[in-house]
Amino acid sequence: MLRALNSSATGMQAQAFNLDVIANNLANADTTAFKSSRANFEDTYYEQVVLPGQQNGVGQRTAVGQAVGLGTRIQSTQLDFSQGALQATERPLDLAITGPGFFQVLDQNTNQIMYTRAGNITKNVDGQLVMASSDIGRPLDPSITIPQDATNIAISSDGVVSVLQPGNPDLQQVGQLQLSRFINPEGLVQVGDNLYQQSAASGTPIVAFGGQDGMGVVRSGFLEKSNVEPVKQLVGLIRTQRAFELASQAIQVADEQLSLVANLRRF
Amino acid sequence: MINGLYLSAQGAHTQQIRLDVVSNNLANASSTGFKRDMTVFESHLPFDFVEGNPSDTPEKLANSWGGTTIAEIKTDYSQNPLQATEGTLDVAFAGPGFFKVATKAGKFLTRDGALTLQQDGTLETAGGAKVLSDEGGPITVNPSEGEIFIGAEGIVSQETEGDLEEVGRIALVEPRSYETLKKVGDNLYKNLGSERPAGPETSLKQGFLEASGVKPVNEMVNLIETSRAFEANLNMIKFQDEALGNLLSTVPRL
Repeated sequence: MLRALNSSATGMQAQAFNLDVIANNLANADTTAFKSSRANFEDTYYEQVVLPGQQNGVGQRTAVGQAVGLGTRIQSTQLDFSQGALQATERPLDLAITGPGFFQVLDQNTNQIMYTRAGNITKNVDGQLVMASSDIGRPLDPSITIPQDATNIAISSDGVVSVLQPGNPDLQQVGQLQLSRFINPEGLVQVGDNLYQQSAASGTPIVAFGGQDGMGVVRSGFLEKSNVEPVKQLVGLIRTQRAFELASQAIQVADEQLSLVANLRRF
Repeated sequence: MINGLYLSAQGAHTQQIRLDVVSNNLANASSTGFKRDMTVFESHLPFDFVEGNPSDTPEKLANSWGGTTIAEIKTDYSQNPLQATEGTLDVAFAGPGFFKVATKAGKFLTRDGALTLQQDGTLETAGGAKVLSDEGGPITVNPSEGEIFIGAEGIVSQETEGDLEEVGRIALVEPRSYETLKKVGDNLYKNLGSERPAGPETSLKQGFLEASGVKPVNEMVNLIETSRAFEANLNMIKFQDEALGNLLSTVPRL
């Protein structure tokens, strides 16, 4: 009997987890280049009540067994790396990637390369191009420095950064943005701050410039918006809530049954 | 009278197992490709008063004659609704059939088509089982090439230097008998029998996932039925207990 209580509880737990995922998606509906996640569910174990071929009370062998499932669990939270919509900002240092590539930034706390698609780039006091973040400016890797006297910046679709300097009518190339992509981007670790970290599942990055090796191209003057679709998330929200409710109904029935058994006889 | 108590207890017991099954169905209302289970009840052969009697104090309730028992817990393998996800590696079955996958524990069947790639380009389910090709090996795409397309017949092709190149063909199989399938959890089925290639009515749909086959209305009705049937059986036990009690108290003491 308590199987039902437990398996319904796993249902409620998994749905609560799903709600966490959906809530985070909705919270990030306006986060630059945010990729939504979804929770995948799977069934857990099956308890074999009667093995197939077991003899029953009248000596017949059962044709099939009896297995009772013991609930559900979250299999994985899978990132959806589909392209977010591009929003024109007309700021040359706002960059979006159309394609599967990531910008590379150096996290100076850990000295590790991190990956991001949020291309709202700014300059720091040294003229280095950094990824804007609320707590730390992480420079692009390889680093690109804009000369102090630059009056204008232009970034081409293959990521070449050029500047206009006083007294020189020609654009001077100061660097090129390097992009990376992964065979399994879903295996990247999400670390917050719009950053992703390489993992054993994601594979090593394929490094190239924009427009090469299927990397996609860099669009200057655009930002990639979050790919969260509110309608889809809300439908998920409703489904989650109802599935949670249904599981709780099963718990109630199991509880009532236990109570009936407990009160079967009063001494 | 004592036998009646056993029969009612059996009734209650089978309803409990039915509740377990319903609970598991409801818990898996979101599991990808989940197939709902149904409990099939059967009546035990009745207690034969004339010809003599298997004992009315059986060791196991399941062996007691008369009453009810669960014949089997059957899985409903009918098609579940498809859910559009637009994921490149989300593949759903339209029609019967399974992916053949390999884990460390052996080969299994699954309809869970939330696929991902290993870092060497091997196609896996999100649960980490390798998807097998019709030749029996894993399917590997080139990590440094372009987009992946999965056709209705399971052909996996990849955009390579502007052309579509076939990199493998996912095995789409069907068990010869659904009776030999055993659910083992993790959205996997162990086939104790043999398989054959899936027929022409089976096709894959890229960008979709098969939702769970749990029908909330049916399960709620099951829940109500099982709850009431359980209650009724317990009331019968109470009633028989009281009747027995009354009998004992009215028998004149010698």
